[in-house]
Amino acid sequence: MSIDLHPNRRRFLNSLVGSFSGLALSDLLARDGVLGGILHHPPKAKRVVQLFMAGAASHVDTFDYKPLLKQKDGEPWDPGETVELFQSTPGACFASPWKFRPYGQRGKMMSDIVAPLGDVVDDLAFIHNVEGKTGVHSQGTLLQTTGFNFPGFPSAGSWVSYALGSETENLPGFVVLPDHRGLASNGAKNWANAFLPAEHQGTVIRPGNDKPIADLFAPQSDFINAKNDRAGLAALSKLNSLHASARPGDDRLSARVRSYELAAAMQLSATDALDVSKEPQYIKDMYGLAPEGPGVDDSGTINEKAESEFFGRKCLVARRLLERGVRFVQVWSGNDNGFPRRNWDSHGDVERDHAPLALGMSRGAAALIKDLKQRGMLEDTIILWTTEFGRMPCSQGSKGRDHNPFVFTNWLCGGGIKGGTFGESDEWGFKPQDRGHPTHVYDIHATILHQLGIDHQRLTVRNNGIDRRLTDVHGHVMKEMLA
Amino acid sequence: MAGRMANRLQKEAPASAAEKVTLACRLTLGREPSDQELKILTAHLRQNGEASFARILFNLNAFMYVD
Repeated sequence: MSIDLHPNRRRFLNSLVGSFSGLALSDLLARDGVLGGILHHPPKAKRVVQLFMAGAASHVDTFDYKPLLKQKDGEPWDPGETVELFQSTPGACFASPWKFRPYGQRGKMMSDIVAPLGDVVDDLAFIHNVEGKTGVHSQGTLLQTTGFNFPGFPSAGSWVSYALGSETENLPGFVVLPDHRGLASNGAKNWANAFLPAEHQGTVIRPGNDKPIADLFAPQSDFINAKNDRAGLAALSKLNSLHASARPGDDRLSARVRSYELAAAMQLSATDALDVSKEPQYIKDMYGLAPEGPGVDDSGTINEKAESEFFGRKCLVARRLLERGVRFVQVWSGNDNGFPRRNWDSHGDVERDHAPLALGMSRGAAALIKDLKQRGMLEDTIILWTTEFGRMPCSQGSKGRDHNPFVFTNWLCGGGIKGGTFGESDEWGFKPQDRGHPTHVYDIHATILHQLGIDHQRLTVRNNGIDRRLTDVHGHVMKEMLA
Repeated sequence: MAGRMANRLQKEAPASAAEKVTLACRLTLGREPSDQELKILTAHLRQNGEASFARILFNLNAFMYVD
């Protein structure tokens, strides 16, 4: 199927930009997405959730079972080649502190700290041979969020929002749920629109905070009331539209007009989307919400109850946002480099840090998958689990693991992706088993775009004289993973 | 910020709403308001007061972005 003839509608509408109705029409186009609802091929999926483990989650302690590490535990580690580590010299072979057990029809081996995902394992597509480019947190994070390991490129969520537009006028197309303890490496660059129109940047929402969305409501003041606030917004809209119609082509201006409209709509819609109080108790329990709510204590030690509440609440809010038409939700787990460490960067003590983080994550993720499935939404929602890079099969100190950018695990679920294992790491979990054919973030992104009805080679935007893509000049759709 | 702007307008342009709008546009935008702008802003100022009016000015695209 070809769509080459269809952009006429877009061209026609574009030709009106600059005339009196230009602003409203260009706004309409943006809501439609650049593809104008006419995709490159019939889509299998409509929306995406990206679960991002900040600090770098260990594949060999979660989803990638390596019995050899147990056999050789404590022995000097010799993979037969030079090992270059990020901040240490290779220690001994280090068996995972957790038992691995078989789950699902295929008997997929997973560790006890991700056991809650056992219930949905048959729907998960594991890719154990993902290869990164860098063992540096900020670069590794950007590579997974934007497809480039240096700043200046749009987030995958921005590309999806740009291509498909928003399914709703009342919520943004791309929403980010950061860890409440801090932003990941690079901060807002992980959800930046870069050279795409400004309205496709991720909108940060902090479920559980007193003010989940910054500046959504007018500040407390003795001269602001509901009536003059509304009147002010109406006047502002008129004035900004006048100003923008005299300056066609500057998308920042229309994005700001649109953002005020969206904010007004979100005062109702977002408040509703974030209010989980009316969810039935069995749903709250499934997501692992704590009876005391977001204020659950994690001040002394990182603990499973708190991590379940934090990640589970974000997953539940993600489901509510997806139901209401949000295209792309980015959910972050872990971000605090203080002590005790509350992220996945377990240099010092994998057992102490990974157990609560992974149990909280897997409970929330499993609940999200089950919940989407029972609502009939899993078939057109893709869930991607990813992280910055993996961790080493050898120890750092005696209880930690250093960075492993050479191989790590991603998994996908839903949206026409079938369960199974697609790509293995070597017997150590050190590098891809077939070093000539690793999986890269480009392949993951190409596959996600494919399921959304987008050819990753044809979704381009010219910037600085180059037709830029989410997948740079790389990427292969992983056809073997498609149902 | 809007409150302080309101005080200044009351002090420096006490005569009329139109005078306040003109002064405020000179201060924030570096130019006089167009006829349409004057109409919209004067109407808002009359109904909602100087401080609410100043909030609009500080949120204008014309204020945020310099041509």
